[in-house]
Amino acid sequence: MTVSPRLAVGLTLGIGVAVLAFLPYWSDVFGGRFPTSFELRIVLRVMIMAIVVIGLNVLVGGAGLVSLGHAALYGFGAHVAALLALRAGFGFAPSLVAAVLGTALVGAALAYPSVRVRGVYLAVITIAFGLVFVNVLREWVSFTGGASGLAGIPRGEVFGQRLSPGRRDGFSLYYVVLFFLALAFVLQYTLMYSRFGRAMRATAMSENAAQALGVSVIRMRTLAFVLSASFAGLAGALFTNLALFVNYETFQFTQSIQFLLMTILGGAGTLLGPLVGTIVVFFATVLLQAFEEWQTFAFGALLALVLFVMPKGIVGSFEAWLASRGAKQRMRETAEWPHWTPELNAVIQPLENPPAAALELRGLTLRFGGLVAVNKVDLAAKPGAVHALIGPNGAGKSSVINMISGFYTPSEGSIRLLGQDVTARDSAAMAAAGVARTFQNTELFGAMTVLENVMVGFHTRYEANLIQTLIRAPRARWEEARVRREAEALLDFVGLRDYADERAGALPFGHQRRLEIARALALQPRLLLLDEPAAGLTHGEIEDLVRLIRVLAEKGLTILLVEHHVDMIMAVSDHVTVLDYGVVIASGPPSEIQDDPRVIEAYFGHAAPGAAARKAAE
Amino acid sequence: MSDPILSVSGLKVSYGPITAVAGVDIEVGRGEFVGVIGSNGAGKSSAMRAISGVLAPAGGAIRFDGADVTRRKSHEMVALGLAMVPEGRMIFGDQTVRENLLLGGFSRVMRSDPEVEDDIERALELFPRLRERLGQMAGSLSGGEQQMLAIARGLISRPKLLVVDELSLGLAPKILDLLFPILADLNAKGLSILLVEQMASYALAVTQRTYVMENGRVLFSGPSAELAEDDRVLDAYLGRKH
Repeated sequence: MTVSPRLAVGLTLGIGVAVLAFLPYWSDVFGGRFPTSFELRIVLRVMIMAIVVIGLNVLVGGAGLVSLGHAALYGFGAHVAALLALRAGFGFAPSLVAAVLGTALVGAALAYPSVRVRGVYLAVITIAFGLVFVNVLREWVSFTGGASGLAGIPRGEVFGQRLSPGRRDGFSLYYVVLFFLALAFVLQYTLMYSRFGRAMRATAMSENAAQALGVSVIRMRTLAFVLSASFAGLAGALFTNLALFVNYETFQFTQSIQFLLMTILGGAGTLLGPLVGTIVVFFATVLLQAFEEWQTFAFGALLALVLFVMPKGIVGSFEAWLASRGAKQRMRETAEWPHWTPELNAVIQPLENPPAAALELRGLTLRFGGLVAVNKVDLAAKPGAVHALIGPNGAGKSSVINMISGFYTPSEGSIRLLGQDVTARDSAAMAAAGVARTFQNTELFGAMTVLENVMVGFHTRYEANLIQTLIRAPRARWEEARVRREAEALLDFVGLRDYADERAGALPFGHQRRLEIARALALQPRLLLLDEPAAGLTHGEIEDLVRLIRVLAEKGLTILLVEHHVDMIMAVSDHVTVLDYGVVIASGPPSEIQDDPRVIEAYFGHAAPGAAARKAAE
Repeated sequence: MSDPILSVSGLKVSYGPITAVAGVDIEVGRGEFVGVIGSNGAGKSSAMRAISGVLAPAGGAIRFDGADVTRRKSHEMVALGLAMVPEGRMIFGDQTVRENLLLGGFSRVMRSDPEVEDDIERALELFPRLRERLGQMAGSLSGGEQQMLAIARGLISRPKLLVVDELSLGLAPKILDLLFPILADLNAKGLSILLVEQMASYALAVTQRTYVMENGRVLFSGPSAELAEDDRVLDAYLGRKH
């Protein structure tokens, strides 16, 4: 059984807000002393931390990046709010907004230069930032107060109401924090389940495929980090208003580690994980104080134990268990393909005034050091033509594809697409110009569903911006529904509709190829590059693939095909270019190429029967 | 068959709620060369993964070399004498060709078995192109050479049964004309081989017996030479014009 995320969010929000809103008045209804003002402050602290962790979850669970400097970002927001309130007389709202924007800017400055390189690079930068930040706070005494910190921060006001966690003020600060926590929780959902969330996860799973679909990896990761930093800045400003005192001690490296532990223990990438993780880690720390000097040991042991039993975190592992329970065993059905439906007319539209050549390569050359992989290749493909590129393994075919799709920069020569010079653009720019591709070794977003993979392909064609998407404006909802419909139509087209909700990485190899074609078509390309689409297909499936390629060509799509199956090349192509050792050795219609002795020697290694007979006759 | 090297009965494989293999019987006799063909999604690769111990089967029994091995892990299967040449080759690209070969005999290298070197030598005789590239990173090999390396690596463990998943994937005809005869040769020298192959024409030409799988089941099976003339096979796997 599975619970839809929307329902989970709604239920959590409804029940959570109701319980938390009631909490300050608990003793009025049930009697007793709970919650004391001390206990209420603890709940407030946990809520504020949860906001940081929700932000961190966007980064870790979404973009697959790690930050070990979130305590410093949290501290940055807190200090911006404190300094503005103390020194510039800013009220609650303006100082909060300034804290969020300021922290977002710092996030952008940290992330933009460091997310090019994947892996631990960003993590190290964030550690460095955290160390520098704390050191500045401690030593710049005249500005930050050093160890004695900034004290005497005035209480803020909202709509004339003084903000304090006390009963006299109607627990006003408590409700403001609760409001922001609920807001952060909802934004986390609208972000993660939007095209931006999908694009972020896509960049975490395959940089190449994301770029090929026009999703800029650098921009998407920077966005994730900036949003994540904004949450930390918001939480920092709320902390300032609660504590009315800030100094460096709250924002040290160990706190950054704790935030990361909360994220991972709760379940990175899940919606409820940050809340569960924050509560569990915070109270475990408190309860384990009973172990006195063995407290850290007990905490570490507990952590290791939980993650050993629940490797996806508490919420992640629970969800996986829930999904596996009671699920009915079923067979999947591969439908007949290609299957054209009217919805596809919106996705695959013919070009209005096609130029004479869709793709033109002139003197295209690629050198790796001393090795010339591609040597002065000329090639021209008409709109709606199927152009095959063949040659032995290592002839330079994939290098040509990689240059046209912007993954390699040509050493010499030019690439023109629909009459426009596009030489040496990067892969995301080539995707924007209308080039879509599949990969020889398939590059799917393995942990995403089959349908989500196709939806990532639509990323560049959305019109709703980030704000509209986050607030789920009608336009954004409408667009999301339309994209889902069109993505389903594309899955129908390649016969994979029945697989829509499956993990893409679990598909049989040949089906992964089909899914890559559907995903590439989502870009609404003008030129489709297919790198060995028939590898791993049976004869019957290859015939289906040939029909699919012909349908696309009839719709005006230009196709450049790298393939080894000779029968297929002969059946599907209008024109064949043969490469050997990076050089074009023959070019012409398939009927001519088939009998060219140079081609036969290079490609088959022996004279084909037809050619031998003809030679004998001459 | 009296004493098959591999005997699979009622094999079931599932991924969570998805059934990929729904009860399959496959047998490979000693010294036999057996093929499995079928469309994508038929369950061929899933069945091979269960047989080689990469996946735990959801049901059924696997007997190998006279012993029940149903839930054995892949490294145990290698030690028992089953070598797998996986789909997509899965060579270690950042290690040299020689290191890849040594990893094929990992358990024996650990025991300092002196004969590993002899076996590497024999594998190199089979694939002279690998000898020229012994010190090269495996990732820099061409697709055909990588497939040769994957087969050579499988042979170093001195298997009683070689399981090959998708020999032809992404390879030019010239390379295939080289590789398939090598498998036939190995079989002629007594090695039992189970070959999963999309390019049915090649598989039917080199194997003695073939199973045709669809939708997680074996549709039919028989001597490869007979199946190559069978209308059902012609239609779906060899093309109508043959």
